Amino acid sequence: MVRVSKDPIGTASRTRRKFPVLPYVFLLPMMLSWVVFNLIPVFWSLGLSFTNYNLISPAHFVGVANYAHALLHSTLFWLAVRHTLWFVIAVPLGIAISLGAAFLINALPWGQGLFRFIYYLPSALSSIAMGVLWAFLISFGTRSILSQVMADIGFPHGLNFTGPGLFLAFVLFSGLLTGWGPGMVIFSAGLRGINPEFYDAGKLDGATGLKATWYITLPQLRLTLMYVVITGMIGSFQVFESLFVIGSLGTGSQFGPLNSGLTLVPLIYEKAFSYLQFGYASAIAFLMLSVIMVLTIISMKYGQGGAALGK
Amino acid sequence: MANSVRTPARVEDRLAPSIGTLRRRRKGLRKGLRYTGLYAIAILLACITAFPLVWLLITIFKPTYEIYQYPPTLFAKVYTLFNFKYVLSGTFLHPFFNTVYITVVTAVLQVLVNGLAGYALAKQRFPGRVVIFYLFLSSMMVPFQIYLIPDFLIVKHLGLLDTRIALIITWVGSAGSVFLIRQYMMGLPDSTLEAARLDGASEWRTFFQIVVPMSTPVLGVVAIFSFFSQWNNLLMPLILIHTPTRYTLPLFLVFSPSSNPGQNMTAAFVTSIPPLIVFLLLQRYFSRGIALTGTGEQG
Repeated sequence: MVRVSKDPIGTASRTRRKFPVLPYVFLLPMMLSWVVFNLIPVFWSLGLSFTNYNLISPAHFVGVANYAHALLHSTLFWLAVRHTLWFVIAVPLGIAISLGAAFLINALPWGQGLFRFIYYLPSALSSIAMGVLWAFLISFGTRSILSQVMADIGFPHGLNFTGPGLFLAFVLFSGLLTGWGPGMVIFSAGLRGINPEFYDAGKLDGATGLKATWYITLPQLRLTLMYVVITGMIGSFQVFESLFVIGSLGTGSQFGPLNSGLTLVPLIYEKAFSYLQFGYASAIAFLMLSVIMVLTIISMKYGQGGAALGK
Repeated sequence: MANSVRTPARVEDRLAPSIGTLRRRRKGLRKGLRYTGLYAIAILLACITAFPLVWLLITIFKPTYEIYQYPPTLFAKVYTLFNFKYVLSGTFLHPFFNTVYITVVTAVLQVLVNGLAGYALAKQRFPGRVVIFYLFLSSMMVPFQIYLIPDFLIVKHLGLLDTRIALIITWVGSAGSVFLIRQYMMGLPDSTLEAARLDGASEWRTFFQIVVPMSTPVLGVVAIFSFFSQWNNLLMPLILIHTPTRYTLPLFLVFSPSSNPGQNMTAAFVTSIPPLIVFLLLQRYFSRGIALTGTGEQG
């Protein structure tokens, strides 16, 4: 259909235009969407964070009062930060599972695809659907299925996973149990990408088994590891869905009883859409953004984005 | 420890074949034991991972009284299709097809809109191209929760609150997708594109008839991620949709649960089927996509 011209020089002049309009036409839909839903919102949100806007009455400039309130006076904000940090701390644990599973799979002589598939399956399912399942497991408080099973295997009787003490721990644990699939796939690909000659050379120097893992495999995986750790941390700052679904369906209150599952994004959501404190919620969002920005810039150095940034 | 399996008794074989065969026999036995151990761990891990799913799969076929039964049993005495009546009723099918519609339209538009932008940034020369690329790139750093409040206000000002269009337009443009597509299309051979141009094919025709077919891997990745993220999208519908008849599946599962847990879990299971089918059909693209972006989420 499309053939190579025999006279490239003669026709080449046709492609030279004074000013290229078409590229901008190609970019237009994306630019439009980007300006309306990305660019304007960032500045709008930043502006709102210095006001007391509440959707009903006009906004008044309040300076840095929202930021000051969050950082200095609000116990709820620091509670949300503490809860969020639990999810951040859990990241290395999840990554250890991912890495262990990747090592395990790559050591198997056959059935690698099958096991990788089974391990990834929970991550491929709808996270909301998994939440419905978890919520049923803990509903009815001390008489929940999970409490009874835990009592049967030797834990104290009457553990209440819908109570303020254990709700957050349960959501954390359920996330750990099902959330390590993507990391495993990345590590598994990373392990296969290591040049086998390193191991042959290492073997001549007496590096086998654990020694080879420590001196060859882990240094070779360093970039992948850093990337997964940082993207995992960014993700854990944004935790929302699991808390909302398990909280709503399992405990009857949106983020668990007595704010026990309140992290930063739920706090933003609640302040903005339950209390209509749009200004204050925006300020919290920007405080969160500043931390995530730092982590993202670091991750771009190690991830695919690194190439584009010239790192 | 696991990695030592990578280096079998090859070296000894080459040096001293006769001793090597003897050693190999002994090593074979040891290796056999080690493999048995590895497979035992792998299977145990698989059981733990698959347990919630298997449990869900069995539970949805149980009658209600058996679901509540104590002590809980994995297998039921009686199996029933009772719970499936619920997912075949309008109550469930309405949000289901609502979500299918929104997800499919979003995926198609994502591929088209971000594909065109990625192509322009990868293969066309025009003033401002580097600036635009870096602008897109920098917005990848902003978590989408920042957009939540202003997006709500913008959608409200546009008069699109509580519509399906709102969910689609807020999810179409993705800087992360543009970035992936652009990186991939940079690798397409210029000679092919130049040849098409010289033969008089317009830029549009070059894009649709040459660039798109050559870029199916990356466009597939973008379509899958778009499908997954929109299908499971909870936060956006949560703030943009209020009327129960316009609920998507995530909203429906949280806000309109049946009083019967069996029915809820069946609804949750059926909700998982479309992403599962997409995952099974396009598994190859999917793992590549994860390697490209690090997560299964929209960037």
